[in-house]
Amino acid sequence: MPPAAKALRKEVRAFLNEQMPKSVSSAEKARSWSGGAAAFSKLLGQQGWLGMTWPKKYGGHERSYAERYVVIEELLVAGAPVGLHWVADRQSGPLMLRFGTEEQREFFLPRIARGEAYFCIGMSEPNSGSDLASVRTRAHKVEGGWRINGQKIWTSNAHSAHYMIALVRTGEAETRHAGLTQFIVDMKSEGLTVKPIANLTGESHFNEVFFDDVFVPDNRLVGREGDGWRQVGAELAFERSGPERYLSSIRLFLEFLRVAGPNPTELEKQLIGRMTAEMWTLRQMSMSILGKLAAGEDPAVDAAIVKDIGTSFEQELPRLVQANAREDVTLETGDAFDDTLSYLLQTSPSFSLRGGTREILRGIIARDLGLR
Amino acid sequence: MSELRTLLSETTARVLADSRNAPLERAWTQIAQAGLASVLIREDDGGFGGTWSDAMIVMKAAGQHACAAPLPENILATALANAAGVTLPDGMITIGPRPDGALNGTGFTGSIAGVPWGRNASHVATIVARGGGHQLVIAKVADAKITPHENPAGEPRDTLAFDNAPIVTAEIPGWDSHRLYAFGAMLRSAQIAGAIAGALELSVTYTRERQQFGRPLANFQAIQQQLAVLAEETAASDMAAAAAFRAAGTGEGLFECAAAKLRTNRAARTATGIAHQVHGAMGFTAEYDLHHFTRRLWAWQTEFGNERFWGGKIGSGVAARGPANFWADLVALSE
Repeated sequence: MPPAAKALRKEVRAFLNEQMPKSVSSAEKARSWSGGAAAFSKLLGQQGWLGMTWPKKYGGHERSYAERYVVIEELLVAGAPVGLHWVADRQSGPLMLRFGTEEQREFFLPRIARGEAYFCIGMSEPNSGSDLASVRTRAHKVEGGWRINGQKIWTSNAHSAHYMIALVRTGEAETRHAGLTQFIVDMKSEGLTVKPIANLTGESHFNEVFFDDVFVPDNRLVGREGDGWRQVGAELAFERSGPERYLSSIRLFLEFLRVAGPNPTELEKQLIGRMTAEMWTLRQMSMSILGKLAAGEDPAVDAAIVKDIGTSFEQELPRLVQANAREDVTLETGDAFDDTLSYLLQTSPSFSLRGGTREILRGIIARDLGLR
Repeated sequence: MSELRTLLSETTARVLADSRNAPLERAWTQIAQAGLASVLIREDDGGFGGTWSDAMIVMKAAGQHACAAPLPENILATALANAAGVTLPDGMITIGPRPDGALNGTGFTGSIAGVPWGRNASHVATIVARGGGHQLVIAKVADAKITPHENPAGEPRDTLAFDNAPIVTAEIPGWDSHRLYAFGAMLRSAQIAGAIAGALELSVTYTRERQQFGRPLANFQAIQQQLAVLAEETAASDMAAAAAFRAAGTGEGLFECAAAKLRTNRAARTATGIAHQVHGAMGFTAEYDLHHFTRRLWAWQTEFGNERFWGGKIGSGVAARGPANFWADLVALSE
């Protein structure tokens, strides 16, 4: 990490110390990038901590990838409510920087960097999950733009996002990877309906999104018509290698440390040691990909490796903590430890699903090994 | 990788591959002549003038080529000699991981267990406390009573007993026997990373060639998914070991040595299971090469500290610092 990153880390910690209300519960913090607060997103924008690596002419701050990494690490560890702008800052903005038109960059990027424009990702469909190339939502050409018909599902934050980057079919259905195109869809468009889906905890983070002849003007097509598959692939290394892929359960680890106290049992020592070594290793792996991204490489396979190991870890953590918690833990009392454990036990199955399932990731790695 | 490192990596791979089936004495001559044991020795003194990260390249290759000689141990011995400001004698120098004895005047009395290739080495280097400080002790193996032992991979791990043996000794600032043990763990983490890479390579080749149900095993998703995990563990062990070697070159490195051994041990456990499973009965034969990697991986998990040992050390330290310091401490390691 460069020296500038170290100074920035101090700054972010001081900011969080001041801005994170002391009353936020541990379980609330555990939500982090699944939670969100509009005022907080704006505040981050004012700090210059959104769109950090983007050119200044688009409202960015021309900071290094390492500096952005420091900021998101500290936000995640503090359990800050970063969910609203998360996708826009992490991948929609970079997508437009790479493939978007000048007009798109000038319009959207400053809004994202101010923490005012949120994005969601319209990929999965009812019959198109891991088999993403089978998407059937279709755009057909009309005067001045396109009309979209079809349905997306499992779209996180569709209910709070202003825009969706939708992957839809513009070519022949038989061609699979070819004929897919990305559009920026205004979520207020006529004919677009968002219907929340309650997850198993009763909360609604993901949604169904219905497109009934939704009009999208020509200037909202991202990159090249028919190039959607390749463009989606270019986002994935960003999406899969970040610290959010191993830190989702850190709040429970910290609770475990708190309850274990300075003189833990032998069993607790073992668990703490093992989980610490794993986080240390994952951090090294995640940062090494950062170096490759900064150098303009496309470390898709490395990112798949980090995501699979990282999410396996953050998923295993609640199970390990439950199996080894002290006998007075009941999951009933509603204290910080109970609530955090209870929340993560229930949400951790999603960790190895969102952003590409474990099986898909391993398929990517197997292909790189020359097995398929 | 820098040009120099690429060269070092290629040279190491070539020499170790060439000398693999040679008798130890001849293999060692080739290794010594290629300067592999001198990677940390200053260029002025006829070495490569490398860093610990350069040393890792050699040690990982030692694991990847199932090197049957105390090459990593000899490299560590050169670092100890450098820290103590003494010149090592010529020959094959190994390390004494667990010294149990005392210095009296210029003699050493006691025993050292688990000495890699003790019977073959010319000298053993270890660290013994004296007064308030710590002494690097270099003893001639010829002065020892040797009790031979082998680890499960058949590698010599001998007990050397000394009775007032004449030694070279010097104060070694910044070191003690615990640090020596931790650095031994770091050595093994690099070798483990190399051996896992070797096991992965064999597994990929084998499953692409072996046909069942009319197609290569590699075509089956059940096999692909397992080998993907093996590749993940290869990457994780490589990264953990590399981070420890980097830390050894810049600071104290004790946490990193511990974390790297803990993580690579875990990787070794997963990797040996998968590599054997995808090989079927063939991998279980003496004739096939897989056991050169897996038997070492089993042996090395115990050497220089198992997961319980290092888990306890890290766990105690982290718990004593408490949740408020956890993240700041973790991040500070890389700053």
